[in-house]
Amino acid sequence: MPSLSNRGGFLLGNRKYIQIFILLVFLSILVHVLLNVGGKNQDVIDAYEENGFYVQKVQSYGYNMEVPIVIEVKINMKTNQLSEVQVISHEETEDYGGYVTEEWFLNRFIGKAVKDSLQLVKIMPKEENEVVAITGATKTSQGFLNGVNIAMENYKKEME
Amino acid sequence: MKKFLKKVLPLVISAAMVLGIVGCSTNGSKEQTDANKSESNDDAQSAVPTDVLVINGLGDESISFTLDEVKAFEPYAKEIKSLTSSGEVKEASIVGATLTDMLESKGYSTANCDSIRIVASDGYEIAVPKDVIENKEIIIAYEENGEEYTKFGAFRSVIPDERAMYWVRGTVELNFEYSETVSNDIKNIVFMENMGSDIALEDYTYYESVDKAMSISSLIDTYVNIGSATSGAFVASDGLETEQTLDVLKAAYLKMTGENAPLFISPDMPKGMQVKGVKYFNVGDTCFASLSMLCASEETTELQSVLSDLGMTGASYLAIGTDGSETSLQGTAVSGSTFEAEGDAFYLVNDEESIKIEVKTIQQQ
Repeated sequence: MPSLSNRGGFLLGNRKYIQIFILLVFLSILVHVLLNVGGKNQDVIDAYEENGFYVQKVQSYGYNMEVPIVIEVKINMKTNQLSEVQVISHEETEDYGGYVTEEWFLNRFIGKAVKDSLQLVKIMPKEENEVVAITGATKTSQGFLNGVNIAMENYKKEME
Repeated sequence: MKKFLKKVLPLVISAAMVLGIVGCSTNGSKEQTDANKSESNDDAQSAVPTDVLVINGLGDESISFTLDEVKAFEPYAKEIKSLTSSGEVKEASIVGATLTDMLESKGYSTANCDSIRIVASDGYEIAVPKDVIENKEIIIAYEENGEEYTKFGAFRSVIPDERAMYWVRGTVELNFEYSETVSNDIKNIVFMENMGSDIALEDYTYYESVDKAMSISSLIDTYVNIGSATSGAFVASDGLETEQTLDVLKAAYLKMTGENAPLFISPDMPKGMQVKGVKYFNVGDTCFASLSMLCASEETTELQSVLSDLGMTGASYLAIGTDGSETSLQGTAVSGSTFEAEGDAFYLVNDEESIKIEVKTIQQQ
């Protein structure tokens, strides 16, 4: 069993390494904070302010689990409402999820307040934060709505 | 050696901690993407093994075939055509095995079965009726236009020269049904457009429009003596005939306004199971008939032809109007009556018998 003096000698002899260790721990904590607080959700591809709007490009998966739907979401920073949503690209099934680019579907999102996450419903909306799915394309609709929710959450985080 | 360890060990531990912390933080971001991915795929579809075909109802136990086992049968290759519900002709070159060969290898056949219900990985299901089973070959295809199926599953059931509704992508199950599941013993006809306040019409979003629909569950509860029925049958104005299980029916709606009305639809139903322009819908002892579809077809404007279509052979009937009036129909009152539309209203009319009823139901006496 080592004596106390031996232990003290070990600590004193390795002071340099202890300092390096503390420095590395500090640096790693800094990296962690930067990635998790200041960093973006990986599904947010791009985000910037433009003329009073917060514009984000996000990705989310619908029926096609291989290729994401890429969505542009524009939020009015004065009213905190969705001002415009657009599909940049998708590879959903033409006869089903292909309707995701239709204006009548995209218009269901316009004016929604960013304070509450959006919920998908299948027949008729009853609450302000509910959006009706495309007939016969629930998965694509859910994927698209998830993408819009990601953009709304990211916006709220940025505005904190 | 001890000296070396003293120098190196703290550095190794420090580096490992740094890598660990950074790794944790990047994993956090990765999980956000994965969660986003899995959330949108959280359904039964992903749990179904799609490269195995399971056949139920032939014996006490199910039998199954893997893709390799299906490929081992003598290949059936053919250029095929099918007609979609929108009238489009689809052509494809398929390779597969005949269901006959597959069943024979296990000592079974399609003999005596009343219907075969094809089930797909996405929940789509359709019953192939007896006359199709007896007269057409069912193919379990694994290749189309030179490529194997990958997206929905390894198999597609194909019935050459039949409607595209029997061409089921991602076929995972064939269920052999032997009992007569649809009752032909219809006692009542209820006319969809004249049910008035009996059934509440609900708003129903259909693509860009908001139409009116009624829940089939309400229809069954209000009008039907379900008896031992386990399914219901549809006849569409374009001639399509299809059958659905009671569970599917109870979750579904009849959309009564707008495009394709009357439309059999449900929010969770694959599009291919929808029935456009429903003319008749039979369940238990009751037929729900669409007056708009009957009047649109020359063949079904006569009461007698509707009764014959439904297998109602009684001599005496009671017609109940939307105003609650009751009119007994016998002899020429049956044979001479026709359905007629006047504006938005529909009537049962017989000039010789001075009958003009905005008819809600007709009951066999």
